[in-house]
Amino acid sequence: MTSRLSSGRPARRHILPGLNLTLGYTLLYLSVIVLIPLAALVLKAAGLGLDGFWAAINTPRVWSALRVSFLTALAASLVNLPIGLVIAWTLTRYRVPGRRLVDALIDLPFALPTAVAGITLTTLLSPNGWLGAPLLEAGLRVAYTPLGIIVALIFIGLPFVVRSLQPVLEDLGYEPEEAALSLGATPSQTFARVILPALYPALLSGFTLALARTIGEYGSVVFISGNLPFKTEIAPLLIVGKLEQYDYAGAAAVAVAMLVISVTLLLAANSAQARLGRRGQA
Amino acid sequence: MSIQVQQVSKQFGTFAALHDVTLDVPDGQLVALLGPSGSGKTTLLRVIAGLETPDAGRVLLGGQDITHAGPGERGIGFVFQHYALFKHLSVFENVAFGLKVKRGGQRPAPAIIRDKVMRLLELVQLDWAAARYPAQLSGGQRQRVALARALAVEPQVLLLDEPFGALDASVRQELRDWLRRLHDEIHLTSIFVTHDQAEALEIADRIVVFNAGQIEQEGTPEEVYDQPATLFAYRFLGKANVLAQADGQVTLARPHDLHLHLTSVAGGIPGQITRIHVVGPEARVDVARSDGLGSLEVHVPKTQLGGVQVGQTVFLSAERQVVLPDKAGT
Repeated sequence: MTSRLSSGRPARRHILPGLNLTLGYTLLYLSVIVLIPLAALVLKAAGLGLDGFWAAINTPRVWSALRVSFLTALAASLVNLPIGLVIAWTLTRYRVPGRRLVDALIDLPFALPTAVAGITLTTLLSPNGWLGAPLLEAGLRVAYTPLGIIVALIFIGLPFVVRSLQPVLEDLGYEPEEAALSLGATPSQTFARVILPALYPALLSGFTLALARTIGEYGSVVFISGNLPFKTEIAPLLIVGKLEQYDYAGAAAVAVAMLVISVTLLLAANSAQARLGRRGQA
Repeated sequence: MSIQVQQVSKQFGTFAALHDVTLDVPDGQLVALLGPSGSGKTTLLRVIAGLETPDAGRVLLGGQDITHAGPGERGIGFVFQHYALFKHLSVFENVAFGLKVKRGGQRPAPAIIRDKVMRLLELVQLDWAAARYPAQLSGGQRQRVALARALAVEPQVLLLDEPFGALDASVRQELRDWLRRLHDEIHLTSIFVTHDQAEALEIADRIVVFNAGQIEQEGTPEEVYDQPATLFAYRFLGKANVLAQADGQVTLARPHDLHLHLTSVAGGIPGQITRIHVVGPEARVDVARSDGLGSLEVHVPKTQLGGVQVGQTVFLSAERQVVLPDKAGT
């Protein structure tokens, strides 16, 4: 890679020009946009000292908020896997009328301001809302409960799963399925043994993207969650709360805790992805 | 097991892929369905396999009507052009698939499956690759895995959809010879689809020529090559020289049935050599007819070229020629 710099050895020529330029740009861009802000965050939290940092996050309220954030994101992303799979399957396999419209609607959660989504869902699901009232009658309270948070996060995370699966499904085609059927497999065996395993890497990456996106979700959740400490208070809200009280270091400490857990999850997902991917390639 | 296709038709939208096709394949034969793309040959293969449902007609296997049986219930093995291997499964698991999905008492014990899969992998000379994944194999090796996988369920009939179409020339030739030898060993009734006449002529017991959703001609390789029933079949099976065209009749000759003469002969067609091209032991000579009716291609052994030069005037006579009705559009 650093052919120009390693003296003594003949410079290796790259077929594609501009490696140095693009690599430099990548590093600069990553630094300015991602690494420097994160470093500033860690630095701010470090101002507390190790004891101060631990004291800032080791309170029941912080642990509870972190637990709510991660568990609701995890639940929503898991729910999105089968839903996303069915939607992606329908969009790639069937030429139903209105398919293009549905396809465009999938991206709506990307485009819609999250606060609008939050307010809309809250209005719908609140105890006197269109959906909330009948659900309450059936004994199910959605708004202002962790269930409400999960509903909002399902909405936010869905496009990530659908968009991860679509190209893989297109690429898969009908042949493996037909091969399985001609070998005597039933449709359910074909799905479980041939189609699903081929989709594992895409399902995992869709799940990871949705999880990463929803863990930090704030805008849509604050309206529907009701923000009850120890019940429906999420970690990002706690951070905002601390900021409003000018407790910048405390806010940074909670943020660093979220960062560490998120990075760990992402790394785990990426290594699982790499292991799955290695089988498919040489 | 014998295969009978009776008056099968299949329509895709407004496109008639098969039109009233009837075909008998006797037990133990290797039959080629030959034709250009879109001629219906692959559709017929898929109808026999149960991967397409015909709009009309019946398919019989060993005398039994299987028109409405699912692909897995027919006792067929299907080999796809692009292998269709299961990428997430090892070579061993790919071949074992058909045995492992059998239900209840029909599923063999693991040790029996193991033995059988290894025997099949030996048959296709890939026992060393059992633990590999399809992505680690070459195209020819993948196709042999696909064949072993299809044979594992002990099909009554083997169906191959352009099995060598995605392979390069030398591997193609090797697999072709190998398939013929395999067929001679196990005598499994087999149908393969191809658009390559050389492939069909080389390994098939019988050739079925397809055109526009219908069977144009059916016969042994010699019959279809030497006595083509239609102009289409004649042109599709090899290079065709038009000698004369009159009263709705065309007179044709193959390049190797034409002779070059340096002096005028009775009935000889005069012309001028425009190109001499030597391919291995054979010289291909292009001759522009003096009467302006196009050009003719002559193949002669290189040793019998006799020092003719480009630009020289020669006379052509046909040792064998065929007269066929001149159908428009073919």
